[in-house]
Amino acid sequence: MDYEKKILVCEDHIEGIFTAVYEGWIWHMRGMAVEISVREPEYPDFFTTIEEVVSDSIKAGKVLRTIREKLGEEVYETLCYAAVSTYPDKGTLVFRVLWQALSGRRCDRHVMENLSDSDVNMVSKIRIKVWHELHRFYGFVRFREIGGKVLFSKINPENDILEMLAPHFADRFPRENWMIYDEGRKKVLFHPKGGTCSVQKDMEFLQEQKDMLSEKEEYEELFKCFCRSVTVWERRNPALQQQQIPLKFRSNMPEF
Amino acid sequence: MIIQESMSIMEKLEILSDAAKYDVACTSSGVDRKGDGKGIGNSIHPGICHSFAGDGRCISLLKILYTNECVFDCKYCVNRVSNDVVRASFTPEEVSRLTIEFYRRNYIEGLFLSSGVKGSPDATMEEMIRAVELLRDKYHFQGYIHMKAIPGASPKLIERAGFLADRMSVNLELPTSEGLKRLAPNKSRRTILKPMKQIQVRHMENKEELALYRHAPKFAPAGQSTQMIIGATGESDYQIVAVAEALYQQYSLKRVFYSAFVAVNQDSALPMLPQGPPLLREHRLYQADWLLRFYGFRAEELVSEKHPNFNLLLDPKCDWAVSHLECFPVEINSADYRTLLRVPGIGTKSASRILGARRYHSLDFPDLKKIGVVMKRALYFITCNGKMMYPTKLDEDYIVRNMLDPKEKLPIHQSEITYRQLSLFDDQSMLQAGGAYGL
Repeated sequence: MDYEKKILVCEDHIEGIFTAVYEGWIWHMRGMAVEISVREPEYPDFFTTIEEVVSDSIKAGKVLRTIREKLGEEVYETLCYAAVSTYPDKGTLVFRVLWQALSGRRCDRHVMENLSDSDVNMVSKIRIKVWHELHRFYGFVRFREIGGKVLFSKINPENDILEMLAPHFADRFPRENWMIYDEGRKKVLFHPKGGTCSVQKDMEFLQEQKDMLSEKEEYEELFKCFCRSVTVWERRNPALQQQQIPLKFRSNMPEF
Repeated sequence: MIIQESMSIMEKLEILSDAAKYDVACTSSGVDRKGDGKGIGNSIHPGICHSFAGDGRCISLLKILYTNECVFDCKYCVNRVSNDVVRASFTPEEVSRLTIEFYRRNYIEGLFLSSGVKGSPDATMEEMIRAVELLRDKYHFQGYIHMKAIPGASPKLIERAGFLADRMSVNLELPTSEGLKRLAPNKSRRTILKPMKQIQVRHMENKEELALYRHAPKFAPAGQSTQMIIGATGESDYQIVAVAEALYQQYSLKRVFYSAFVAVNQDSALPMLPQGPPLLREHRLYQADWLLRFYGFRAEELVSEKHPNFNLLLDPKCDWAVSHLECFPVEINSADYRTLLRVPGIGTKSASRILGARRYHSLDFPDLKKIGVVMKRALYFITCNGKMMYPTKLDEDYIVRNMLDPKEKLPIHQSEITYRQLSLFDDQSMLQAGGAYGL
């Protein structure tokens, strides 16, 4: 039996993963087992060939368009959430779920309901996790007014959700200059007043700028005061508070 | 009364948010509104929590009173006229400025504006409306606004407020009119229910207007809510739940909130609560409330004249299930949605997931676990393809004994509860049951 496995190594973002799905599809049609990984495997198997995939926006775009048209908005969103997660085998999972939904001229828009399947179940779990983090950041992002012109915020999300914050905040603050900085991934989402969002990668700040960013603001003091006085001390419950807002979020929030 | 001149905004905020904190309606949910690109703000249907206070409750809205000056003398309230506390009032400009600056920094989802009664209900309501108008018209604020209707304010003002706010609320305060008379002498059932009815009727009419003219102004699009204080007077859980059900059915309320009584005043008319606020009771009421709204239960199925109070050791759904064993076991692979919802351990999400997943395969117990069913509770009540998970008895005592695992913590830590105390409590409230609670 000519069993062969192909590991496609791609870059860790949506475009990279869906380019790998595009390439992998061709190999899988020829009967090869396909895995998609975001980093080089440490101990490759004997019958495995490793191939690097160069991200290609046209190929990824084709895959994404197909998913959207054939499987609908919900599946599309779910797979995008999976692709930005920190789960190491996310590429393979996305690939397998897509194969289940689309191979052999199938077009199963309800594929995500097949929760007794372990791949679908895993993707669904990841979707909930990423969605939850995204939704938390809708609330936990804290802006600070810098020089009376720009609203600046720093976040440290676990999953790569920075770009996904754009539609929500652009709709909410259309007449403001604002930026959200993902400190871990060193990229920044920038929105100019009345314009559209853009992402800039490899963003480092000078010491001078950092100092400016950490200046205290009057409204931070007011908000701290509000958070204190709105607490009902007879019902004090720090465990519940920590469950709702884990410590990892608090370093970027002035009220803690 | 102490009135200070020229208070700083920080001092005012401290006093007026402290005074508003016992109002529990902090949700920002129920309305989807995109920004129009010209102003500031939007709103999303599930609502957003921006922070969590030290009591674990979410901070979503800037929850403040417009003023804590008040001519009413409600026994349970810090701001009653007979209390000697520092009084403060915002101005409309201060309220709108504070809201906008907090909102820009993404601290909050919007404004929750309540107030003490300064002068007359109408005068107070007018001031509040002025503040909100400033927000909507001058700052083009499109975020969430929750406004209280002051009992006794004229219908005209309520109407104006409804077109500015997303959600309106009038607090019922106490479940029985007799309790209201005793603890809130300046309020009456009539002054509370009249605006409530008005908001409901206007909201319905507005729905028809909106069906005809898509861009007609919206009247309280997120509906109305109310709250009841739990444990300040002697009513039973049955009375409370029956009132809540009537409010949902007859007044189409979006939410009824329950607020465990916190003793802030020393008063002979108020109970002493040495163990602190009745939090577990409040929790059980919320659980029952969910059963009413999403699980198709009726109030008298959960509690009745004969059993007027919830079992503090079991949640209301488990409690119902063990006393209705004739409805079980339920076959997972064929039961309909409503039947699945009645099984302890299966919620609305897992019930609809079961319906989706069983189109692909017939389901077995490991699949249910993956789907998110709480097997610890469900296993006594379900079969998969005719088999139970373990050989168990469909016997009330057996199930209760097994579900009450000694290691399992009660949702809110109340170690002092014993069976004996529980039965005492039941007897006591049995005596008080049967009071007037009709709406």
